[in-house]
Amino acid sequence: MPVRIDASLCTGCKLCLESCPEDVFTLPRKSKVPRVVRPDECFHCGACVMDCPEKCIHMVLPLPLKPRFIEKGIFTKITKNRTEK
Amino acid sequence: MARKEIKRIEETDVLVIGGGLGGCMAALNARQQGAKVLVVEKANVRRSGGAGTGNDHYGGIIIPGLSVWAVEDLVRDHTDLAFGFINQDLVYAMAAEGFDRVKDLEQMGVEFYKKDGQYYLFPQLHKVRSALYMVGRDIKPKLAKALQRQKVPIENRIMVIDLLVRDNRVVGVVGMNTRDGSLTLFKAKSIVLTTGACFRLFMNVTGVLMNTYYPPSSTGDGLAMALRAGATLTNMEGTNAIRGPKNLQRAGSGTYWPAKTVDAQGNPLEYPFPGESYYRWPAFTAGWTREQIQEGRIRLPLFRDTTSLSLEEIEFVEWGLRQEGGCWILLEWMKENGKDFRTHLMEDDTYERRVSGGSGLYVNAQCQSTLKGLFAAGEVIAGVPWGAGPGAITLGWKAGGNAALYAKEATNLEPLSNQIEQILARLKKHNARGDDRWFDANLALQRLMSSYMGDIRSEEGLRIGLYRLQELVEEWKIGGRNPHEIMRALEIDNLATIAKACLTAALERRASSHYHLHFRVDYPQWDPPEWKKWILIRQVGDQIHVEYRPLEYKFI
Repeated sequence: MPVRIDASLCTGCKLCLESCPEDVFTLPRKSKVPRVVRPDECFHCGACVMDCPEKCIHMVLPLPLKPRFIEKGIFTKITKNRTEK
Repeated sequence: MARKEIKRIEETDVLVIGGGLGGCMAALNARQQGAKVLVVEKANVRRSGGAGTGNDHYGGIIIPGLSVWAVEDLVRDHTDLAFGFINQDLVYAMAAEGFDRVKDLEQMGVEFYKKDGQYYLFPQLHKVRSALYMVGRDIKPKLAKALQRQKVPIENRIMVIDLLVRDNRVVGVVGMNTRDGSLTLFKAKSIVLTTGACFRLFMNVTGVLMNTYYPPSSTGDGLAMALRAGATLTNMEGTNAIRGPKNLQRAGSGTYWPAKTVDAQGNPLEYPFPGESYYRWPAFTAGWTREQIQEGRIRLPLFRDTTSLSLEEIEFVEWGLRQEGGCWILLEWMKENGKDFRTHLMEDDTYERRVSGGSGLYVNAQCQSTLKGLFAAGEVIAGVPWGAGPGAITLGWKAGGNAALYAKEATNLEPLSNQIEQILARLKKHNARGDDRWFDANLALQRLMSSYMGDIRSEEGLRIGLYRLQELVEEWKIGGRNPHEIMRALEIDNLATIAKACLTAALERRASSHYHLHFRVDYPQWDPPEWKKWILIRQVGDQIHVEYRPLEYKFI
């Protein structure tokens, strides 16, 4: 799931449902906590996280979307270890 | 006239389609001119459009007394960057009127970055400093509030299906509610089209369909419906590909990055232009970088090396990213995963192609298209490349004002029933019996575009591409089990309409062009002077008409 909602904090204000540009949430019957029903349509913009007044939505990046960083020391080691021919 | 399927009819003076930065500004100005205005939005104005989750920079601005340049200088530089493919009137308006719009935004509670109480210019696209920075994270909720204060009605979750035209003049639209599927006929004296950019047309480099750096619901709907309605488009052969943080596609590469870019050997990239214009690469360096890579001077991958920046500079980069289009997700992720700009290099990647920001609806200096009463602004119009937020804000305002003026002289005309029938027939095609999921149809279309209109283009390849497109469109049966899926299916229809325009224009530009990121292997000479012309595209029935028009300049 692209986002995790902490059901213990959610008050059911539905602002995430309104904000989401791709309409990935619905409100299931007999529940006050929205559910992500179209996870593949989320583009991780974070509108729901930004707007949640209870701060109870947490963004989860799927594997192919994880940014890639490299520590300076490791970068230097990898790139300088190579023997020029 | 109105069929039983259409339950509701709304009448207004000015109808704004798309409530992003451009649409909101258009509505505010039209309202100020005394027009009755209505905004329809596919998502929700609160967080929709390219700046939905924020915008940190406001570039392309000339501030008297602060800028080194006059407006003309900026227009000249912008013209150079775009190899001449530019609407100078509109770029002039963007630079000259930008500061007035900054004042408007401040009135709405958007703060701009100041140093010692003074506005402060940053380097961005141009040779000299021309960008302000703003606390733009909540610019959209603030604009939505401003619309509320002016009592401009907003209808969210409405996808406009098509424009209705009579005697070469727009008279209304049919829109579908994407949650309950209900249809509304909107009659208007004039229309402002601010539907944004066109994404999801080329295969995503990360393999994730919706991982686009503008909202993936930006499928060029306005472009497609304008083309179907008979309006003229231009520059459709133009695609571009930006470089940004690897995997997490974000538009934040336009933010302030005083860091150097280094290649896999740790060598900094030395761009072929002087100065501190960190973002000057979009126009020519896509081509320039590729040449350097092919010739072995640059080794992939590339990294942003922030490790030698001062703490103050790093803090400012992070401040900017927090304001800019969901880039704060990157910062949050870094914090959670122990990555730090002071100690880590960030890997970059070149994203897939998109329809260029300088491509789209052909408009005049008043932002009016070739259809009477149809005005437009923002990413949907041609001739203002890298206009982005400031382009949408300034020209949206202009388009809205001109649409209100037009509406004053016009009357509401009754739409033609056969056009409404056509819309209903298109909707009926996307029913629960359709075999193909919109998702798969999108992938098939992307595969097609990336195959035949990718890095290396040719007469034969593009012709086969057009043949394949027709084959695909005849073959697919895109189902829609609910209004949301029908919306997605309609998006794919729109993408296919745009694909045809793109392939046709790419076929017609029989020369290689840096600006269009258009390499024709059969015409390998770059930017020959005889090809300094616009290719205009217009659809008549099923046929596409092509016309050429020379580039014209006021400022050389």
